[in-house]
Amino acid sequence: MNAPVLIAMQKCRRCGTVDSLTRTVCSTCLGDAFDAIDVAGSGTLVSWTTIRRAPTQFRDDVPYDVCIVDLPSGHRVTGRLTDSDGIAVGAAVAATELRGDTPIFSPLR
Amino acid sequence: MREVVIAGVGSTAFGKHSDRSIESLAVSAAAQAIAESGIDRQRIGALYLGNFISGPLNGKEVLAGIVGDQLGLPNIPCTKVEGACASGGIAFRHAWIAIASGMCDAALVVGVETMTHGSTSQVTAALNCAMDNENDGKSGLTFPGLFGLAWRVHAERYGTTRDQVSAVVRKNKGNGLLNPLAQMGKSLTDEQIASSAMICDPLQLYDCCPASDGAAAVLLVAKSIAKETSSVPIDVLAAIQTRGSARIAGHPDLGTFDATVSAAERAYAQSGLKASDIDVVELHDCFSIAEIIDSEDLGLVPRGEGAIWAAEGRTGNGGDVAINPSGGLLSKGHPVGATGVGQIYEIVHQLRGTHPNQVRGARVGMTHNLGGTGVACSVSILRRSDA
Repeated sequence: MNAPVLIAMQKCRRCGTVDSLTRTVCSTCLGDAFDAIDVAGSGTLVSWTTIRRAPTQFRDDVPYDVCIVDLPSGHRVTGRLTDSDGIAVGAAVAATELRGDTPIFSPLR
Repeated sequence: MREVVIAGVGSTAFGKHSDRSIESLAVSAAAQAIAESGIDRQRIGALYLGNFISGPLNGKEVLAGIVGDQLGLPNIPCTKVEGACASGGIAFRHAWIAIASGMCDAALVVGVETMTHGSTSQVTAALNCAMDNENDGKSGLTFPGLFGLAWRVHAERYGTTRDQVSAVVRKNKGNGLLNPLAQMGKSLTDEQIASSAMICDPLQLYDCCPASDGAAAVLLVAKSIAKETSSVPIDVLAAIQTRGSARIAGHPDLGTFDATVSAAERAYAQSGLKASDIDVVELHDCFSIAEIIDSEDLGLVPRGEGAIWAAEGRTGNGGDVAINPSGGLLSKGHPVGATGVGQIYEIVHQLRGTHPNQVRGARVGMTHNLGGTGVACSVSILRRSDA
């Protein structure tokens, strides 16, 4: 298996808080300068669901799985999940690609 | 802070009102609340209107001013408040603040939404405005999807089963049959529920509330002028609003909503009451699993036992605590901005002893309204003045 793709985050230059979002100011200290950092996109599956009725912009994707994943960095991210047959909460997953900003996770088997 | 009482309530039926404009529904409910209170309109010092998506779905804004004008209210502040599905509960709290603070002696709350005229894609797009679309929205997540995620977490942790969750659906759909304001009361079997269309695994069609049109209204007054009113006054013992995480990945635990937990704690503290004092609750069952999580978050049911209590009938009318005897959002319907005010309407009738699905001897009631992906919450506690 290839190394998981990296997920972009921003680190506050003033207090060092790392956030998985693009923020205008740091929600910990209100600092407004950041460094872009990347964290490894592998982690633990918190939950997932299969979307069968989608918003218009995602209608062509139906059905698709959306998941929540906890990364070892302590961050929780929302992404897509592929190859979910037989998967369970707590499974090890890794991001194999990015679609826009959205990581696409697959189970590590 | 001054004591505040509910002097009058009004509501349209929830459901499909294709022949009515959004302002017409709001005005009907409000006029009913004013008439019931017996309070002169000239004494009303503020109007708060809860609405979520009149702009995207109706091309109409400044609804609060329009409704105030049509009701012939004095030249008072008329304010629309928005907090997605919690818009109505938030409007109620703002009116409570206006009176409790001494700013005015009477304040009108109206909640309204019309949705059924929109196409499914229009309504879905409008509802998705309540999501953090810089983050969660990009993944293709939907609101049913959020509760599918929450269901899996609850099931993994507590062993929650399809049939236990179906007990909530059967109860609320059954309660709706007894409520003339409800959109879709129905007698359902576990088999019918379990064979309905899959929406967002494990969430199925009957686990989801419908899109609805409707309006509800409440007239609040200072307790000092309550003797001038013509109805049985209901004391507002707590009116709380809280914020939770604005995005799904920001929730440290998907099996609970922080905003509900903190709102309930503050409501019990403000009222001086505890969960075991609550006789009847209208809570935010936008999806069946939400009722189970909410009942735990509000402290009404021990953590992890929401599904068990539902399956054992302990949340039915006549059980330990009656949850959603109106039919709830699942069956009464969910005209988004009206829902929180409609919950107050239902509890007021329960406490007056005039509800069509009356909880015997109800003295203390609670409402719970949750907005967005748990970003906004309101909780109120109400009691009969003579209780």
